[in-house]
Amino acid sequence: MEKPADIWTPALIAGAVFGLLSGTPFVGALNCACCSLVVGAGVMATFMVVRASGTPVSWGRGALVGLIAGTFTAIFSTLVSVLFILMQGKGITGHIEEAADQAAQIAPSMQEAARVAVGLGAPFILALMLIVELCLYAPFGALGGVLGRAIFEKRAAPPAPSSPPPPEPPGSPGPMLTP
Amino acid sequence: MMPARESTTGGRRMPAALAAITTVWCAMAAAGPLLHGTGHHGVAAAARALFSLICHQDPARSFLIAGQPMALCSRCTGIYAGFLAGCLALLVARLAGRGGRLASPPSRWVLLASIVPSALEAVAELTGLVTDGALARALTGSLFGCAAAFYVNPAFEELPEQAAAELRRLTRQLTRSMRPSQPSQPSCPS
Repeated sequence: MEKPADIWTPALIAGAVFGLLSGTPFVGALNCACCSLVVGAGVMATFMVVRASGTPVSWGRGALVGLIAGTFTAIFSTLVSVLFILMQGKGITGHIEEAADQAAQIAPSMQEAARVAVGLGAPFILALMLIVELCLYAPFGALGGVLGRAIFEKRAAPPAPSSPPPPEPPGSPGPMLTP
Repeated sequence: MMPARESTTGGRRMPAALAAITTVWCAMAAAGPLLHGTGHHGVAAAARALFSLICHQDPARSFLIAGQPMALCSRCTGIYAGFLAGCLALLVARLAGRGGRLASPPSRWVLLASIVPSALEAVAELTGLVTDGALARALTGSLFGCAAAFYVNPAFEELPEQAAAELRRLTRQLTRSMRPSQPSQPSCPS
């Protein structure tokens, strides 16, 4: 039986590429079109797995590849975002305070919430950013994996193994023996 | 490792779970304007900030509730509403015992065809044929969302089984690499 294709390397490559794009200012705004960069990561990862696999890739495996790619996208996106924030020289807490000042014009309570977050420190904000992105990007990546499987897998999947016959009811005479 | 195969589960749990999650998701998008109206600006702004990661939220391209824009644009709203409708349709079909044919996703052409109306609508807006297309955006988006539900449900039904198989493979690989290699028996001179 043929060994299934590795799914981690394609997911890591796609996650790194699209995570870099997602974390970059202005380019990352493409995610505003229905999370297109994250969905793209799932599609790209599934494309690479389908190309490398000797056997047809199942729907569930496509979703799994996309899910892992989405997870890597979230990690890389957070790291790149933090790098860009640090490069601006304001620090993570400074960036949050500035964003809260802008949000305060719409909702004054946002400034208070931001003050609480800043008080908890940069590691807390970083963890929160990562958790939110993981929760959003992993399912969208899985969706991309399903779309990628639908588009690129042209081989027919083998039929599902037939289910075993139901057990004999108690008291039945059992199989007839033919002479 | 299980052989790659089409999903034949046809269960009711996944469409029900996805329908429930999508309902909560749509409710969160719609709740923003209502929360603003009741004075809960902080919660509304937090919900809006969450959706800003996945949608442009342009007020001119969004549906209004109580005079306030939703946290999702009209196209995204249509996509999620269509997805919800697709999950519910699948659930009803399976409850009625007619979900057997829907256990496997349809041909890829159905999915690709479902994107065409959205693309045509976008072209019509760019060329000025459609000026106020909020409803058109939502309706064309809902076609894609509804079609996507018939691919996502069977795929997500298979997902736990695939994830478990991958975890087992990783564990086997890890234990094999951690096992100390057996030294070759030195030949003792007699």
